[in-house]
Amino acid sequence: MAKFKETTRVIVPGQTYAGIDDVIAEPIERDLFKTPRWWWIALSIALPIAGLWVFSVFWLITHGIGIFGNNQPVAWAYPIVNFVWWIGIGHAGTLISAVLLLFRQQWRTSINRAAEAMTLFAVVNAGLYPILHLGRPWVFYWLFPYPNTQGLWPQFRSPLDWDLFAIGTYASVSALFWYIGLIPDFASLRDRAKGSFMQWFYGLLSLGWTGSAKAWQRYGRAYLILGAVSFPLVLSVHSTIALDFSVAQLPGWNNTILPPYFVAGAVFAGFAFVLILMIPLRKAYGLKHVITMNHLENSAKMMLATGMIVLYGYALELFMGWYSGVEFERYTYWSRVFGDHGWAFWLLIFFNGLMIQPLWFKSVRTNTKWLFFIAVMVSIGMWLERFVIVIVSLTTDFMPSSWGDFHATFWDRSLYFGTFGVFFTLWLLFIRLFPAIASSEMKELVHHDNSHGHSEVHS
Amino acid sequence: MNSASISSINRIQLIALIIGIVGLLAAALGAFNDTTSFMQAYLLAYLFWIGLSLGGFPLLLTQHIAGGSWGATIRRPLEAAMMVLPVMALLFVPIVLGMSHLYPWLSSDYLAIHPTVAAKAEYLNQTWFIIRAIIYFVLWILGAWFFVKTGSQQDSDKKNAKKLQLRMGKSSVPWFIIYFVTMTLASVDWGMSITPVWYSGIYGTMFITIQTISTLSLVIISLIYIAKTEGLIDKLLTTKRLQDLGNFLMAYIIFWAYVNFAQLIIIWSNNITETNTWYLVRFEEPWRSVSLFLLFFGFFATLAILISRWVKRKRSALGIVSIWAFFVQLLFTFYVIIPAFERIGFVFHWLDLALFLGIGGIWVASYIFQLKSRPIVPINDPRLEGIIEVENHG
Repeated sequence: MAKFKETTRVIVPGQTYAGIDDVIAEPIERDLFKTPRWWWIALSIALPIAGLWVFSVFWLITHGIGIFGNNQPVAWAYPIVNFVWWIGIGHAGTLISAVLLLFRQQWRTSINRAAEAMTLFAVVNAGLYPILHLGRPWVFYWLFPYPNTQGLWPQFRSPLDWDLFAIGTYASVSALFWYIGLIPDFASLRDRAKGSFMQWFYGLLSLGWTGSAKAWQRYGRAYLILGAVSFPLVLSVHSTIALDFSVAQLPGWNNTILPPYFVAGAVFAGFAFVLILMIPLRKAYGLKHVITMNHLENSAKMMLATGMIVLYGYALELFMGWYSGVEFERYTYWSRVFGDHGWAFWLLIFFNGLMIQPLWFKSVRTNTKWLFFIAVMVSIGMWLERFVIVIVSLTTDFMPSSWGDFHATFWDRSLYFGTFGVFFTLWLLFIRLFPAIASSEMKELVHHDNSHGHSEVHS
Repeated sequence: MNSASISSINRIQLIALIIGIVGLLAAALGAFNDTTSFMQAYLLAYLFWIGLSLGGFPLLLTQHIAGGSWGATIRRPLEAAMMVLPVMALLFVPIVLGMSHLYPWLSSDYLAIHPTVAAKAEYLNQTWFIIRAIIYFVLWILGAWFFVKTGSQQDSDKKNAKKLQLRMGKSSVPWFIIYFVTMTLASVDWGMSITPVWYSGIYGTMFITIQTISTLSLVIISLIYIAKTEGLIDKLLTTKRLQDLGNFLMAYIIFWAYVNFAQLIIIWSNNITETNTWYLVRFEEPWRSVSLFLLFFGFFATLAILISRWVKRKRSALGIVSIWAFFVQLLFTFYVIIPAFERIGFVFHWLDLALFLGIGGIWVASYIFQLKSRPIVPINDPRLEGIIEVENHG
């Protein structure tokens, strides 16, 4: 190929259907021993970290949740912070797949598949935290309202039970959406397969897809319906999580702005993570002509917009805390900013507030190094945000006699660190075995590009 | 605009002006009798009608940042609505004069028995209330003026149309921030502080939602009406664009319900004395019926109708739904403001209607004046390039 030039178009012009297939399928069809070295190196880093996670879970189950730093009054700590952090990341995936689909935004097409996978793996990590946090995780199914002889019935007024349904729905709809999108691509992998194992493997996954007009028509229908089903999930899942906090009387948790501001924060963190994953992926797989600057810049814009909403949330929280005139509310926000854990607040403002401001400039939004750097900063900032809301609010609540402090233990940290291993192991397997780009949808884009001339594709 | 449309909207303008003047005169008579009820009714009508001007901000800015050709179609009505702001700034004077009838935090007796309100006297005091209002109006009028001026420049300067469009697009982002911040604070000042003990973080967002829905409904109604006589609007208001507007309306109505649900569930489960009063009043008759009406007819029924594609693609149907959505938001504003005054007995006062018509008549007349003063379609908007010529011949 001639020397590659960056573009702000959705895809580089002059692509063909076969070319798209080659580019997307090539890394998957490669012989096992010809897998690029960076992939093996990455896997050999991710796997031991995932192992640390497995060991931490083992230790947790054998020793109980006393291994965490949780105490009274800080009864919710790292597991909840990490839970909210991971599930927030998933939101960009859903937004890209569902909302941008319904708004007919073409730039979603080359990144939706990978973003959906990101959602799924993030939800896996997130969903396990509340279960592990139960104390007796092996009876987690008691949360379900099922007929039993023990006289058990879940407390439906508890948002923790709403969580079960919110996450359960989210995980199942996301998995379904992702899988349905994959079917035609599995079928083309099956048809291209040279070995009988690959043919069998992808044949099994493609569920007998024939590519008939009828199949396509039903596929389109199903995809749109799932898009419409996922749409409200973008709002509802993180709102439910906001309610985990805000239905409590605790100052710092009970602000009514929490639901929309959590949703914005989730999308914010999610787009940051999309950039963290896409920038290396497009480089490693040579996908710069399908994941173009256009995608990166749009993700950066989404990050900036939601980041500004999040900043509005921070400002409003402080203002309302003061405006309430209630002693406890005021003290909570005062100590959030100037108290013992004030450093976390100021770091959070630095990461989430200051670091995103360069995104106002196009030169930053189209510079992959800057984008990657800012995205990492935002991810740290969003973790700190949850740390501030969950832990710092709990340390100083109403009665000074019941105040306390929190110190994380080794297991708090190892369980969090371990989730990165789990995530990246799944991610590496995904990009090795599954088409990371929706090739059938890309072909539609190519068709559109070829038949509608060379005008800039924007909306 | 052509002469047929001018004469048809001239008639509406005249009627609105007469209703406005009669309404205000009648209300002025009432003011001598019952100043408190007058002020309450005035604030209610004022907040609703200024919302129609301010709702122009989120919609105009959104279409400048993201909009396709549908944005160019709704630009002029939005700009006209925003240009009523100077008139509304004048109409704010009576609120300042009569504020002691509205805001209990002005009374030292009240402060003496409400320590949490006395604690925020640095914010809630007459001087700062007025200074903040001046700042809001200066910024809002400046914003409206900027977009209208740049738009007019674009109308006369086809060569630089693209450049001017880009300038408006870029300026929209800072104006969005300004609007959000000022509107949040204004809603605290003018609405929330009627019950000074009470507070809710989402209140500003709730006001922004009311404004967006009511302005969008008004724009849809205006366009459908003007399309009857104005050929260009008639051609631009295709079923697809109509459906886009209908979808927008539906999305905002869902968001409105979401905002209210969030506030309700949090305040209800918190159940603390500072904040639960809001719902304690509204969960008892007569407000209980209003709450249920808003839930079932204002939200569920409207949503059920708006989900239909047929409704969104048909002018008369979407027009009726928009009128309905407009009145639901009016009722909702009533429901947000009036219970705070703890009126005894029948909650609806005749002055509420008189001032709604009085201020509304003036607002509508000024809106039509603005609508007439400039071309109804921003003919040089680059997003209409190729559409107007083609559709004119097609």
